[in-house]
Amino acid sequence: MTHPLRPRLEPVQSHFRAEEPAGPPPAPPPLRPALAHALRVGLTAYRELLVILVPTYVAVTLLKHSPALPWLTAHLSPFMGHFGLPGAAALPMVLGLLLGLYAAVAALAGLGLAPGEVTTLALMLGLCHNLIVETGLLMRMRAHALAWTLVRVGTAAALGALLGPWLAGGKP
Amino acid sequence: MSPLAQDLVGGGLGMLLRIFVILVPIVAALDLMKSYGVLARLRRPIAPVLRCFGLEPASADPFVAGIVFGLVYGAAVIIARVREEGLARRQVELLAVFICMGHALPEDTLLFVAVGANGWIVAGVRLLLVLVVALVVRAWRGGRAGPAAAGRVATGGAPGAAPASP
Repeated sequence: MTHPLRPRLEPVQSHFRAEEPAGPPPAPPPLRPALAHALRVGLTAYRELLVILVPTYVAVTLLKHSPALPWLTAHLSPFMGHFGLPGAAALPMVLGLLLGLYAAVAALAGLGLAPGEVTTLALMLGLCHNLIVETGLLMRMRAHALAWTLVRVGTAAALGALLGPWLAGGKP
Repeated sequence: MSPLAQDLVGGGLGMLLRIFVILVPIVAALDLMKSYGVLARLRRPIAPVLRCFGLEPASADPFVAGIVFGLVYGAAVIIARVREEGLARRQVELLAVFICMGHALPEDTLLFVAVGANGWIVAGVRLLLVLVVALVVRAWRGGRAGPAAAGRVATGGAPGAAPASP
């Protein structure tokens, strides 16, 4: 926390924090130390993300190559009817939940689903995707990661059950 | 090289590089804008909107970064803000609503529109849901984060936040 640049940047920070407009604004800081500080903040942010991104990426990649995905897909397909979706939609669903939206869209393209069914999937997966990595990031943010993940899954399921059958009815 | 190893090494390094190339400039540019007081001016117009949800002005850029660029970048800006400005815990929790449920709204919607979804429904319903959840969370635990509390928290290190600068 004690960085040689800190004292120089401090007056600007206090100006930014004050809600009331102060009299004369403080002089702008010299460019070079400000740039160095910005770069340092950027690199620190990157390093702090790596701590969570690397392990979750490894976990997701291992999962992608494991037999867990086809197993899960097979077991989820009977439930797709609740969302007005055909059983085949379980594949993009599982890929989206665990790997990410790009994997889901790639799998979806070949299925030939109706526009309403794609809309249902988009709604559900938009709320709730890439859960392994994103739960890790929430943890790193020090938010209530598990609670938020449950809220996401819950709202996605509720939304799918509520709107899915209507959307599959051929409306949009 | 087996497909697994290829995915792990090649894909992993690609991802790390891609995030580096996008993240470091975003966070550095925001910090630079903060140093020169530009950020404070940019935050002002959306401050009233944020206040409706109990968010203080310092939460503006993590909010925008999360919605526009995605969770990874929003999270990075939040972590940086907690460290640099002592963003309060309640703010982080409220931001999590938006960043968790509404992140990368434009990108996600367009991605599915490209394969045939109805973008208006997807974006509209998601937006509505985020607003509802945010108001619920605010009523539930952020009720006191009104203008008075926002002003107080913004002026100094909040309890339990990152150590304030000397």
